[in-house]
Amino acid sequence: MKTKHFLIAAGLACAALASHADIVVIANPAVGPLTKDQVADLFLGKSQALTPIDQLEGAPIYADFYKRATGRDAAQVKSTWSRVVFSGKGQAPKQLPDSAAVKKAVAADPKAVGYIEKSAVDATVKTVLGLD
Amino acid sequence: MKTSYTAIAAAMVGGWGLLCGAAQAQSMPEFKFSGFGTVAAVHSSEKNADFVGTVFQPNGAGYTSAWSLAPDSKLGGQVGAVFNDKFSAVVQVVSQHQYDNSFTPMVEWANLKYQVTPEFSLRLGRIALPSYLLSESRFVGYASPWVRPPDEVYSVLPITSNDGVDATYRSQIGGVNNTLQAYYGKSSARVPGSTTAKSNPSWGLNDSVEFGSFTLRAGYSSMKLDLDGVTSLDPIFNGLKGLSAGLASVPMPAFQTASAEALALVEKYKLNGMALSAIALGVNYDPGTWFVMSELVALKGDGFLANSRSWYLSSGYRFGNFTPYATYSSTKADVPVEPGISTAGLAAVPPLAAGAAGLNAGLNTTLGSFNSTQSSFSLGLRWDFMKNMALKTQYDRLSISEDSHGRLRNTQPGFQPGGKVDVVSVALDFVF
Repeated sequence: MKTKHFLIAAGLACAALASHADIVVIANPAVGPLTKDQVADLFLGKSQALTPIDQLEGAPIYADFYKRATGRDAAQVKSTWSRVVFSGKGQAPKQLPDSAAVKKAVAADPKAVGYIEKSAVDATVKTVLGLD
Repeated sequence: MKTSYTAIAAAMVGGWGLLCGAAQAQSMPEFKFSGFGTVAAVHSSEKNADFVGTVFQPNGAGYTSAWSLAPDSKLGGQVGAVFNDKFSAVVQVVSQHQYDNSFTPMVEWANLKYQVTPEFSLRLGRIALPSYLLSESRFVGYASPWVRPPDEVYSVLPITSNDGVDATYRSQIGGVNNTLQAYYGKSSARVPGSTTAKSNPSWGLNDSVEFGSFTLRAGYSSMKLDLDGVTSLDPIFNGLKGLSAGLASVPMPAFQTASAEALALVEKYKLNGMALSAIALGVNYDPGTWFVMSELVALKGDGFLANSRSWYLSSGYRFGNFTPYATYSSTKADVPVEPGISTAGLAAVPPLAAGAAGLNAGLNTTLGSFNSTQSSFSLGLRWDFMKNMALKTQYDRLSISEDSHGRLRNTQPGFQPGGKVDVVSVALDFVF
């Protein structure tokens, strides 16, 4: 019985994932293309070359992005950032309420890098990496 | 809420008021409060000694109580302040079981950072000692897979913060992030029994390289350690001095030699100015679904503190919110046999010969008690059951060497070295 529930849950989760639009990593038009490793380093606090801008922890795109870009789930990301923050090595990225806010912040800051749905991209920002 | 945090933070960094004033001209400083904690119960099967979380704790689980919250429970708060592009500060206060059996909060860090260039920064104040891979977050249970960092390794360099300066140079070549850090300063820590361990100077260098899922780290640290207020060894030192005077009064070469040897031993084992150094290497591979981590530390001792080699290997696999892990950890001290005073030629005056033999034995006993040899095998499970919280349970099987009390403290007369000890821990870690 438990197994059956688990399978149904897993099936629903997969369906939810598949229904999500592609995610793209965006930056100021001045920034060159980034590799997935570079994006992972920025969003896990290993690199300070650019300033990561986050989405809300509860947003569906948050979990999707970290899974695809870093291979980590939300709890692992939290644990990784708590290591960075409580080592005094940096602050966790600012979380903005939605993709429009992330886009605005990225457009305004030449060092900012964020992630949004592919469909939300416009000329104010540049796609530096696609995460299908 | 934000205002009250700001007020607390402002009070805490009051010493830097001048700087705040200077920074205010540009923009309001930005404060951020965060906290972490662990509530953990530990059980130890050894009834004649205590299992402790750090060497600074006077008691723990086992003898003092079968189950104890003391070894691993803690609460920490941190305020980070960003004044402008160049200046930032951080204060971290941690409450945990202390030398005096209290949970009095202690200032772990209080430092000001000056970002000279994007790559190069300087810090001044109280700074975490970067002895190990996880030493800067060693109190943050939520940030690690285990209930506690492997004790056999992390207890070798137990002092966690340093008052002084450090310089950090970060560079990025291709996908490799390199961080080179040097620090200099002094540190002190209170030890149970009105002892203070002080290191002046305390300095070190370390380099860490991160690429992909790998983190590699190499560090060197050097200490000049003073143990102030240790009275338990006075009988030995006074005995050696008294014996030296007694031996000097006998006008025979063997007695004169032994007299000089006794004084040389006082100098050799003095508790001030012990020069210690350590080389620590670490590797962590964490691609996301599993991890393997290993560190080793080689300590070069002085006086009663022997050379030692310690290492651990730990690995875990993440099944969704569950992370089972296993760790093997070992510390081995090369406790020297102290030949002490040559007693061969002292037979002419039996009381002096007996005194010399007694002090030689006392020195060797003390050498044994200052040094730990033990290994442990641990199995544990971390469960990320809700946001910002993890529940862990861990079983440790300690094997204690026959000539030491291992990492156990507060040993009682009935304690037998060389045994096996079972330790069970349940911990709730959280961040906020």
